Amino acid sequence: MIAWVKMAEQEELFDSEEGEAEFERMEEYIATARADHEEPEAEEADDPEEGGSERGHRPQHRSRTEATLPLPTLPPVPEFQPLVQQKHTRVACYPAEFNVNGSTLDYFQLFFNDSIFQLLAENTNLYASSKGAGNAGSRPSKSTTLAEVKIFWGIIVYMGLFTSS
Amino acid sequence: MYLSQNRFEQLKRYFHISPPYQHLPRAQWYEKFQPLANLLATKYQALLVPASKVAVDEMMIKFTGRSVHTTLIRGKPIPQGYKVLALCDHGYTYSFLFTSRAESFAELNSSLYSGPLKLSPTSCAVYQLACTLPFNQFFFTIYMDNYFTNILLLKALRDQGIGACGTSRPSSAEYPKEFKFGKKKPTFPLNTISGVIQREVLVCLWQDNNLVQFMSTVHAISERPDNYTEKRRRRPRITNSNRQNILRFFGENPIATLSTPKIAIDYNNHMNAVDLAD
Repeated sequence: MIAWVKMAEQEELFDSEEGEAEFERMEEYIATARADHEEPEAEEADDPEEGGSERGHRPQHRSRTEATLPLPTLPPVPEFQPLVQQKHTRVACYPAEFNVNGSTLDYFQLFFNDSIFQLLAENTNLYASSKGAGNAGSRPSKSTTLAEVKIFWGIIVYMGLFTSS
Repeated sequence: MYLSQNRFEQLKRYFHISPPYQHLPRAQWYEKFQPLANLLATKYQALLVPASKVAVDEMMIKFTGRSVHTTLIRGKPIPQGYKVLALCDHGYTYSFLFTSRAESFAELNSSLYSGPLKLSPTSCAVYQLACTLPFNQFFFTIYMDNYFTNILLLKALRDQGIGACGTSRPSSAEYPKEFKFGKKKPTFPLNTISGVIQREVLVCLWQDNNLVQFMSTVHAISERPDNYTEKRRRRPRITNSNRQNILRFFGENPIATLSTPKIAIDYNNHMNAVDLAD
């Protein structure tokens, strides 16, 4: 218990020393950089937040770069004629028969409608037959349908959304 | 309804989007995906008229298989995959364009832009995306990041009546010399603002916590109330390089009200539209 108190005292001592040293360095920095601010206390309060070890060198470095690098002069703000535009809000163009209060599936089917799945089914069948799927000697296979491709697509999307682990 | 494992694997094995064995000259590297992409793009564009502020950015589609067309950027959420350029309105993908490491922009329609400016391929791609908007009936402003923004592109878009705004890189084409500072960026007093007009495009420089470079055809930065907004800002972390700047404005207060250029606020509000969709 006593040892702990001692440790705490030491730490406190260490802290305050560090803080003072920091403060002196800051004073020095302020003098060199000719900063015209009012509250040095504010700076002191911020100091513990920053990494303490190499900070002592940096103010010097900073003042040196400031001396060698004068700020470039910037052109004054010009009078620019921006493009005149009228704002509008986004407009959704649903098909006439679409139910706006419909389910997520309804909205999905706005984009992936049956004709897309029909296309996928047809092309899959074409490819399968060209590869000889279901021929004698291989696993039996029948051509796919729109409904089956939908299930397939559903599984793919599900696997993408809910990954294991 | 169900699908047995065998059947699923059969379907997976034979799944095709485009008709097989087309012995036509290969149009694009992604032509096998194209029927679906085209159908979707048509749907996307038919079902919505985007609001006046849209954004252009890149999306990544994860793919780690063998392909010359994937890009690899370490440290990104999706480090490797196909890169797609997309024009989005607040999370809704309106149009998109595939890009490739090997063939840059395969689908680039070079005849689309016929003006006198020498646009880079990337700029042409953005221009092509912009042209998918119904810009004849509505006004649009496109927000983009510093990968795309350059004076020529903004000028080309302005000529079509399309506004644009974005952060810019000093290395971009025809960037004004006044704002090129070399390797080490200077730190001006906080809230310093300056601008140059080049080809009817406003190039502006604003000292925030960092030096920010903007380009815009829809904003002005002259001292008028509609160009600036009083905005409550949290005091940034104090470092040695920004100490003087920050103390001058914030003093002890953790929050101060600064007059912030509209251009920066708009950019921050609208730029994340693509990431929402991604």
